[in-house]
Amino acid sequence: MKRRDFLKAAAASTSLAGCTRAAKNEDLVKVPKVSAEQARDRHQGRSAVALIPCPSYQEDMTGLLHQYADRVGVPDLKGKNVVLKPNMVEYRKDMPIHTNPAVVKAVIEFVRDRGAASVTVAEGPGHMRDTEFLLQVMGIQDVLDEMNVPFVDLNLDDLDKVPNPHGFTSLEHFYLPATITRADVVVSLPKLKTHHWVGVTCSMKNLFGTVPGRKYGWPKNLLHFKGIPKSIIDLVRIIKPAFAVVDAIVAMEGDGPINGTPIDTGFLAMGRDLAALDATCTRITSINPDELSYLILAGKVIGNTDPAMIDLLGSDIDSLKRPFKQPITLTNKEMIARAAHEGS
Amino acid sequence: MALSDTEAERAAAAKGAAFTVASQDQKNGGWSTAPDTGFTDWATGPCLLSLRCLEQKGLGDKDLRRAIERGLLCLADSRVEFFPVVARLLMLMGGGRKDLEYARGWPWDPDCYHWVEPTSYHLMALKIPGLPRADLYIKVVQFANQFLLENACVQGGWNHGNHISLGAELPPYRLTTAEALLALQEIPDHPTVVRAIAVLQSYKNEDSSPLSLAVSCLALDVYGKQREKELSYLLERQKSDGSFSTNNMVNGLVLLALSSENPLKMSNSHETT
Repeated sequence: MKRRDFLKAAAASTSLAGCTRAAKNEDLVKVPKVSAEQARDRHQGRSAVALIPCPSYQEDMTGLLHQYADRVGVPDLKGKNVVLKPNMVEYRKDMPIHTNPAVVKAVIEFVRDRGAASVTVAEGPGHMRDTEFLLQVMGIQDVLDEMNVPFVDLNLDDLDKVPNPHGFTSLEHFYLPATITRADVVVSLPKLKTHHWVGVTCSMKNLFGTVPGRKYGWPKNLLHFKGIPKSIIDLVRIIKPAFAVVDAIVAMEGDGPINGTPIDTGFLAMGRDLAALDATCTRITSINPDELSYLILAGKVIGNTDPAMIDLLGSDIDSLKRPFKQPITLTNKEMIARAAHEGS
Repeated sequence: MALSDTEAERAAAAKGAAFTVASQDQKNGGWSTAPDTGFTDWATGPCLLSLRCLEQKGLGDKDLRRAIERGLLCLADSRVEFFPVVARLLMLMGGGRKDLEYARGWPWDPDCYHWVEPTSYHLMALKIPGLPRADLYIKVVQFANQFLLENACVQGGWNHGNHISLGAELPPYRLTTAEALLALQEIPDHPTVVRAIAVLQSYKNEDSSPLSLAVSCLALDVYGKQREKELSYLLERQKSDGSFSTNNMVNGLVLLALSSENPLKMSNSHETT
């Protein structure tokens, strides 16, 4: 549905000259109206986001996360059953499609240090359903073996029927993996990438990997039809991740989330308010979060996307900002039109 | 599928078939991935395939036959549809039937796009036990075959759906290529199939997993190709407890790949009932 949004946006762009910037962007990307019920659980007050310089995967990432954890409000993990959700959507050799295993390892150590009773790594890859293959070639299986951590393939897990009250999609409920619905704490571990349907994928879009392939198939196609931005927000509201750690040491630019190219960005990001975290990371890609519909919607119902409401710790945006190549769907209308005929 | 001829195994298979029949969606004749999980989905193909194979083995009864007939109709009705009713009517009036005859596979979920894997599963369900006699299914198979053939990757083999996305060529994968080959086994000489077999044979150990190797072995076998290399990769992966995977569906497929009789080899005959 996003492609249609873009086409509509292109058609509408000439008729909005008199509008304010915020109103114009919302209209362009068709952000749905938000009810009081839908906004009820929005993060209150200011949000803290840590931008942690980290030039390589050989750094002491666990130590770096500890330095910032309390200041960004990472919750108490003592005695909690923690599920870490990396991004393993697909594999191409030497391409930064997936969360780096060194980051997964660092976060395992981090949550254990903070007293987690159990740690599970869980993912339902969105494209490739051969999860054992992905674990091996990505190097995540080696980390799991070394750290003695179990893995759950969320695509094949037991299903719980979870209501979706006041959702933005028309889905009255989701079938979600029991490993996610029964966890005390879910932690999103995304790879920062440009994304040809939503602009940028980060800690919120990463939750598409919690949607079980056994029920919804393998690009989680139903959620595309229900609207990717709306689906992202519904999932965040249902799953309520406790915090997120973004792998942006090497990110992806261009035609992400699969066909893009690597870009050295050299940082980790951590935050409890996923809207603030994703909006901040988006600014670092040089894409304006106020032009991405799911981030506009997130700003209304999840948390802060206004930079005036976000306290940055560690580095600042300007020093990390890179001119990411943009997805062709943001820049090339002919491509969008062609994509509409390509089927997926 | 793993049924043999011992009495105990036949009894177990009959009970499994009864469960599968009972879990059929009463509204549309399809199956969902698990009972009580809503709409009919891609599980229809594998369920139907197993019931049809059991019937061939002589385990059928009236309920099983009825479930099969309803399942077959569900497959015919659940293909992807790109045009709403009014558009189809206009197309029919404007260009005749041929305008409505375009490549159509199956989605994972109702009302979504068609993809290589569900299309392959459903084609296997239609073909392997013998193609149903009705002309309807001949057309269904023809257009689903067409979808697979049109969407083969530029270098051969299959990705998940398209061969190209937003201008970027997509690579084939071992698993999806093997699955599509199993679904197209009645046209072994088609150039796209021949190229896909070559792609499948080119994969190395590091491109492999127990799942993709098991399906590759089954696919190469139906084409009468050597599979020693793939079997050796597979055997390397057996763990000390005898398993190949933590996923028992994968273990089941590995056992099928290691057995001397390949149950995914297509029957040459049409269905007789």
